[in-house]
Amino acid sequence: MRKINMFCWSILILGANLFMPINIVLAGTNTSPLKSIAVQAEGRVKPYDTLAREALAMIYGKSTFEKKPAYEIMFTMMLAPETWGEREIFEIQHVGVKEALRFPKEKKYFSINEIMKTDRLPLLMQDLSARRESKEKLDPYFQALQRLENQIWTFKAITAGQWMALWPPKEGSKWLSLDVADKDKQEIFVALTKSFLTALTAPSDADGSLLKKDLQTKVDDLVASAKNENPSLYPTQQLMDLEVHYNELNPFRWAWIIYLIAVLIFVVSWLSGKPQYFKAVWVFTLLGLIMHSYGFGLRMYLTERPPVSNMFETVVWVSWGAVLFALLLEKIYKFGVTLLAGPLVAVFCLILTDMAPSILDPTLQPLEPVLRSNFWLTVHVLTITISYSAFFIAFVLGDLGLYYVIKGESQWQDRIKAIVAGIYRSFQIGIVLLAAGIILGGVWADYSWGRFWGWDPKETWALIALLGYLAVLHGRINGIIRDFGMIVSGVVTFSLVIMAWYGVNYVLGAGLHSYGFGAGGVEYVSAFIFAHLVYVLVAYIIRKGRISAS
Amino acid sequence: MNKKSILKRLASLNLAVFIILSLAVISAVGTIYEARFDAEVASQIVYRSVWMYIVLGLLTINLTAVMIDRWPWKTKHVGFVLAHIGIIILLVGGIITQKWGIDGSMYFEIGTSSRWVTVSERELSVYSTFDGNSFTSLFHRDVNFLKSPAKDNKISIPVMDGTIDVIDSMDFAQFSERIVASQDPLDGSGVRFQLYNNQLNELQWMVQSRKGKTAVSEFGPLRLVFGDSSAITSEMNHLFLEPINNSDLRYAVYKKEEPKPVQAGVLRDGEEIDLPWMGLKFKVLRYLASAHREWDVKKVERPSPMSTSAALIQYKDQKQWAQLNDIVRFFTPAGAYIVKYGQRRVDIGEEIFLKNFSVGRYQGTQRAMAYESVVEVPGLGEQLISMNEPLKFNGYTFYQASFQESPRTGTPTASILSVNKDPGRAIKYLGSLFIVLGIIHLFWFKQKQKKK
Repeated sequence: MRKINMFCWSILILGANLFMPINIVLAGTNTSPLKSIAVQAEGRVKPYDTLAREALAMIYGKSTFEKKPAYEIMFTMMLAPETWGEREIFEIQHVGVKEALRFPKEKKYFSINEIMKTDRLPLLMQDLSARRESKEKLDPYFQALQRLENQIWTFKAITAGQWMALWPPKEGSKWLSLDVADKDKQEIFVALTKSFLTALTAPSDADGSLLKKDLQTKVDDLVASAKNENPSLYPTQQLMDLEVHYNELNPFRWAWIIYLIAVLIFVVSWLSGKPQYFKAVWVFTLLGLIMHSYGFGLRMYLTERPPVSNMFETVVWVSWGAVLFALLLEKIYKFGVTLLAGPLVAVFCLILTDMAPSILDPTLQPLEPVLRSNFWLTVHVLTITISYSAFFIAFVLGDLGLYYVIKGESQWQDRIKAIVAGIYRSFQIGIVLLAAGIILGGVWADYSWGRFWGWDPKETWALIALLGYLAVLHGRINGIIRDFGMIVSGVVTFSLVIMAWYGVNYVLGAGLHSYGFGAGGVEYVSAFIFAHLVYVLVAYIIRKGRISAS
Repeated sequence: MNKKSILKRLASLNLAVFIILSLAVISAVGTIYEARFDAEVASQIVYRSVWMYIVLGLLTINLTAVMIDRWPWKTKHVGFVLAHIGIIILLVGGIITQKWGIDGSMYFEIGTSSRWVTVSERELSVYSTFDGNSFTSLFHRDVNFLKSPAKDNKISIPVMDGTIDVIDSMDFAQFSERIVASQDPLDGSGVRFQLYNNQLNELQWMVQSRKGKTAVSEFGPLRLVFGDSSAITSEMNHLFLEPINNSDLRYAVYKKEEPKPVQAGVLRDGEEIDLPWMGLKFKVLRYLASAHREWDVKKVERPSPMSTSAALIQYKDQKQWAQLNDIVRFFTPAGAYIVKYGQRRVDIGEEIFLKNFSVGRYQGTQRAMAYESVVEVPGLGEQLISMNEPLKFNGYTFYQASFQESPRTGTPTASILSVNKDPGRAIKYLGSLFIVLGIIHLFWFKQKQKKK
C-alpha cells in the first residue's frame, strides 16, 4: 500500500516538473491562500505557513530566501527537489563541522548535492549516533552535527512527500501525509499544485486576482477533503488564520521599533534638557507595551499556555516586565531615568529575539510532560523571571550611572541620586520577587517531584543571584556600599542573573568542558559581560584619579 | 573582651556579608561539579561538605546574634525579625528533612509488586553460605567511596578462614561483558554469530545461563533458539541451534506455521547459511561448548547513564569488581562468601502493585506528553499516579519519575516512582512564608519611613 502510494507520489512530482519552466519567476502574493492550510507537525496542528517558516529556518537559518517567503520556497522545494540540488541553501555555521566535512571554512551555505556527495558525511553521522548511544551530553560540535542531520532529514522528508501531514485520521492521532494518502486525496493535492504553479509562473501582466481565486478554490477543496476525514480533529479556519497573522505581523518587531522611538525621544529631551517631550516618551512606551502585550496574548492563545517555557519566551516576558516596572517606578517616584531604562531593556531584548532565531528559538512548541501543570509553572516561572526585569532595569540604570560618574559626580549630583534611588528600588522589587519565586519553585518541585530543594543548577543559580543582591543590600546598610557602589552593583551583580537565566541552560547545560566554540552565543554573552566589567573598571579608575587629585 | 562586644561582632553586618558571599561561592562551585559530574557528586562533595555546614552554622549564629542585639524589638523590626527567623526555621526544616526524611525511588515492572524504596546511601554486606540456601550475615556497614575511597580507607572484614578486603573503588566505572571459554562443565554453551543482509548487520553473543538451559533472542519476525527445541512455537520463524560437541552445532530452520524444518544441518566456526527470509545470512563466528561471562572494568572520567560505582573485593588471591547493586561470590572448599555492594533499601511496610503504565504522546509524534502509572494499594484500591499528581500513602508520597521501555518495540515495560517522606516539609513552608512576608514588610516599612 505504502509502496504504491510512494510510486503515485513520484509520478505526481514528475508531472509537476514537466509543468515547471526552468526559470521560475516567483509572483508572490498570488499564492498566499496556501498559508493557512492546516498541517500536523511536531505534536501540534499548525498552518502550513508556520511549518514552512520552521523548515526554512532549520535549513537556511532565516524565514525568507532571496526575499521570497518561506511558504513558496518550501513548496517549490517539495514539487521540484532537483532544481534545489545545486542551490546553496543549507546553512552550516560550526567551523568544526565544516572542517570535518572538508568544506571551506569561509563559506556559510552549501547545496544538498555538495553535502550528500562527501564521503565524510556517513562517518560523521555514525559518530553522532555513537555519541547519542553513549548518552553523554552533546557538545556544540555534536549539536551542530545534529542540526545538519535534521536539515538533511527535513529535506528528504520534504522530497518524499512525508512532510505535509494534511489529513486527520479517522482513528488515532497521526495525520496522513501525502505519501500515504489514498489516490483521491493525492489528486486533490495535484490540482492544488497545478494551480499554485500557474499562479507562481504567471507573467507579470496576468490577472493576479483570477489566479488567486483559482488557487483559493483548490485550497478550499483540499481543506474540505481533510475536514471531511475527521471534523473533530480539524482546527477552525480562524485559528489557522490567527497564527498566520501572528507570523506575518511579527508583533515583537513592531514593539521594539516603537520602543526605540520612545528611547530616541527620551535621549533628545534629556540631552536638550526639555522635559516637555516626556509626554511623547510615555505615549510611545505605552504604544510599544500594547503591541508587546498583543503579541504575547496571541502567543498565549495559540499555545494555550503562559509563554514562559523557553529562552525566547522568557526574554520577551522579562522585557515586558521591565517596561511595566519602569512605568510604575516612574509614575510613583518620577526619577526620570527609569522611563528610559524600561524601553531600553525592551529594545535590547526584543532585538535579540528578532536577530538570533537559532539561539532563541521562536517557534511554538508543545510542553515537556513535567511542565504540564499550568498553575505552578505559571506562578513560579513568571515570578522568578519577572524579578530579572527589575534587575535588568537596575543594570541599565547602573550603566547610565557609570556614564555620569565618568562625566563628573559633582556636576551630575541630581541625576546620580535619582539613578541610585532607581537602582535601590529595582533591587527591592527584584529581591522580593526572586525570593518568592525561588520559594514557589520549591513548592512546585515539592508538589511534582517530592523535594523542596534539590540543588538543581537552575534553582541554585537563582539562589546565588538572590544572595548576590542580598549581600549588596546588607553592604548598603553597613555603609560599605555607597552611591558609586550601588551603581557598580547594579551592573556587576546582573552577571549572576545572566548566569542563572542564560548560563545554566547554555553554558552549564552543554557541559562545562565544551564551551567557547560559539554555538549558542556564549562568546557574545561573555563579551557583553566582559565589556561591562571593563566599563566599570574605567569608571572606577577615573573616579579614583579625580578623588586623589582633589 | 566583654560579652557585649562579642555579641556585636557575631551580629555584625560585615560577618553577614561575608557569610552571604561564601554561600554564593560554595553554591556556584556546586553547580560546576554538577555540570561536570552529576547531582550526587555535587551533593556529596560540595553541598554536604564541612565548609557548607560551617557557613550554615555561622549563618545561624549571625542571625540569632543580630536579633538579640536588636532586642527589645519594636514595630519597625517586624519585617527584619520575620525574615531572619524565617531563614533559621527553614534551615531547621532542612536539617530535619536530611536527618529523618527519605528520598528514594521505586522500580517495578508492569504486573509486579514492590515494597522497597531504594535510596542513594550505599552499604556493603557479606554473607556466608554452605548450601546456597541458608545465609549467615557476617558484616554490614554503610560505605561512601566517593567521600572516602577504598584505596585510602581499606575495609577488612574478618571471615572464618582469613579476611575479605575492599581494596579499591571506582566512582564511575564502565563494565563491559566478555565471553570466554570455560573449564567448568556446569557452564552453558555460547555462540557468537552474525546475522546480516544488505540492510541489517547484527553481531551478538547468545549464551546459555547453565548447561542444558535455553537462550532465546528475537530479531523482528525471526526467533533464535539456542538449546532445547521445545522452545519453538509455530507462531514465528525460527532458527534452532543445539550444541553437539566441542566444535559442532546442529541447526534447523523452521518457517512460521510449518511443523517440519525446511533446512537442517551442522555448523562450525566460520561457516554460514542462507536463511529463507529477506536474503538473510547467518554466520557462526565463534562457538564455545562451555562459555563463561567475564566483566571488563574501565574507569571513566565522568558519570554517564552507562557508568556505575564499583568496589574491588579481594579474598585470598581472588579479586573481583563488584558493581553497584550487584553481588560477587567467592567459593571455598566448604561453601561460599557472598559480598553485596548496593544502595540501601527501605521497606515501606506494604506492597504496591503496578497494574499498568502508559505514556501519552503529543499528536502524531513520539514526543511524550504525560506518564501515568496505575497502582493497587492496600486499603486504597486502584490509584492513578501521574506527573504532578502524586499519591500519598503510609506517610510516603509517590511521584511519577520515569519509566523504561523495550528497546525493540518502544512499549513501556516498567515504571519508576520517586518515593519521599519529608517530616520537615511543614517547617520549611513556615520558614518560607516568614521570609517572604518579612522581606515585603521590610521594604514597605523602609519606604514609609523614608516618606516621613
